[in-house]
Amino acid sequence: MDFNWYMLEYGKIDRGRLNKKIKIALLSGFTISGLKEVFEVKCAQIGVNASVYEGGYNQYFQEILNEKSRFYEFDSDIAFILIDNRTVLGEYLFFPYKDGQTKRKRFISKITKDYITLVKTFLKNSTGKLVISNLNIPSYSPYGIAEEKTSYGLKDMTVEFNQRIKETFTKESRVFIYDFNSFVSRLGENTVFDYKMYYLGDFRVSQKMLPSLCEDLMGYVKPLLSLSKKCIVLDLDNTLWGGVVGEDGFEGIRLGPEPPGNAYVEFQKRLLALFQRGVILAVNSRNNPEDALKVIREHPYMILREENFASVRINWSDKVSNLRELADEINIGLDSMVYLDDDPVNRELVRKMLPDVLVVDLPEDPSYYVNALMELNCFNIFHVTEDDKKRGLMYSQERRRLEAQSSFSDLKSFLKTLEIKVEIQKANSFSIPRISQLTLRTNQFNLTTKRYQEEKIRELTKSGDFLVYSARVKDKFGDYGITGVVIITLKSKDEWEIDTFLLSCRVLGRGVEKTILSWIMEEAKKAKVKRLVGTYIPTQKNPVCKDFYEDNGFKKINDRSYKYVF
Amino acid sequence: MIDLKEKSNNKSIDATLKGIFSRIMNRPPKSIDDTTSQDTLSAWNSLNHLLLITEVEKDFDIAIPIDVSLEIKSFHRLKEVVSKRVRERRA
Repeated sequence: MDFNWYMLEYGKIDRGRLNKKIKIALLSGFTISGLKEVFEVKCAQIGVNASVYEGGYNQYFQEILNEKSRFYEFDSDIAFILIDNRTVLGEYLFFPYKDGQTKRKRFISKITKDYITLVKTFLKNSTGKLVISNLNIPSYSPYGIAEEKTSYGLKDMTVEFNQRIKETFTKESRVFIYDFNSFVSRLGENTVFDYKMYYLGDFRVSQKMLPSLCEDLMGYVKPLLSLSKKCIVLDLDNTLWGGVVGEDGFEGIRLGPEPPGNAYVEFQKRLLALFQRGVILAVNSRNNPEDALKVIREHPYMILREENFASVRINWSDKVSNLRELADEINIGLDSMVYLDDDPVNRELVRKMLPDVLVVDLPEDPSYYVNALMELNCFNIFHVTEDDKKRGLMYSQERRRLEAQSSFSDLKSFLKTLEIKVEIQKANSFSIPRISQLTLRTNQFNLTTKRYQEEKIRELTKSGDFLVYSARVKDKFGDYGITGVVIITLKSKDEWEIDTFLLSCRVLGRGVEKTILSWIMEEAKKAKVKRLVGTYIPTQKNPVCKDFYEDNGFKKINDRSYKYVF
Repeated sequence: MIDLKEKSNNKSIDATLKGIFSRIMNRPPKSIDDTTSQDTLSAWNSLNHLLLITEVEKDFDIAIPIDVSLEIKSFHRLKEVVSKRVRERRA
């Protein structure tokens, strides 16, 4: 929709049917006429009645510093300060090298302080949130190619301003930085900035680009009103891979390093990154479950695996009932869901039947799927926490638990059906890097938490006084790879001591640890060893394995050591 | 023959311009004529002027240089500028 469309639409906003309200203040160092209208229309589109205050032209300093200003009277929920490099650098933008380096530094230092004071004054006088833009880094320098050979040049000045403002307010929960520089570079300086519009009306963002600017700023408005989306529901055929698995077969689908398969791989990577940030993923596909699950579990180039999906619907029911079920199971509203499907008919159906779901029009060409995803800007949260990062995993664990509960009466019979296989191997050149990595990273099921670099592991394997083993775990759902490590010290002819025993949390709670321990006991027996000693060194993170040795027939020697006698 | 074509072109330019003008200034097309000027129409402020120029440029696929755009103070002048630039573009 172009700028004019928004202007026309502005007159047609039906405020009566909008059930959420927000007060937005726009302050800027240049003309932004039209942004208010675009903002109110964009808000109305998501059911929000926005009232937008437009500050006086280039009056933001006065309005913020004067606690009795109309700006404070308006009492915004969120205020935006839009500035650009012209606003801040002034004549330095044209003549950066009229002064020496020291003077340039002093200038940036002073002007940065002014802006920091400005923001702090706002925090004192208002209870709302504040978003201040950073500066677009100038693409032109009178020094030309020598700019990059100039210390503390024009670009460095801009970068430093941006960096200082960012660092000052990183921990301030009410202040956010709008990355205006990325906006300009993403859309192109020559598109965003039009000299004629600038000379005639002091526009630094030409009017035709105001809807794009506003779309970016909506990224702050949506989470404020809890309107951010939480879950992406994905179709499979021609969405996560090219082709139809039911027809083209496991080997026939397009997914891998060659085009067009690489488009799907990259698309999946972008989705996985969102998952790692806390966006929930789910599957809604019309397919034979065996065909589709085989791809998800076994295809070598599949990026998204079963553990990335909070819930999966692969069946021949209609997409609408599936979506309803998914919302129920994941326990989120349909209005928190985004639906991605290559099929326009399915999209139309979902749009009609479930208007709360955000249906994305994937382009016909999979090359541009990533663009469609990255343009969404609807998953924003103000801060990404540790909990967010773990959310996806939590949901998929929940799913597994539910599945287990629904079909098995107890854990044992469930584990049996998983067909877990543990493959224990002496360390070799292939497994040593992974063994070292596991000792460095594993915190929970790690009895001694001894950390070993690769070199050290190599040394241990060569010394003859140690046995180093890796454990690879598989079940019927797939291969977890090397997820366990055992290192044994050959104390004497009669005694072995378990120096390291660890298991990645990915395979915890499946009885794997018991299997490995009994295998060690078998091996010790075979070697005619009389005593097997295990040690538990407690840390903050490993209480999960506190009783491991005692539970498995070892006797306590002292607080830390346990002995098993054959 | 050529004159007739020219005439009909001018007629459509007039109608199109009135459409754009009335939308931006929020005035009925009928109220706009050659005498409409920045002096008589208060809605014709600097911002709407900018909007007008941008719209006209886009619609007719022409470029109006900044000095020329500042000369346009009446609807009549706007029409002259646009007709000239459209002719030049065709030629």
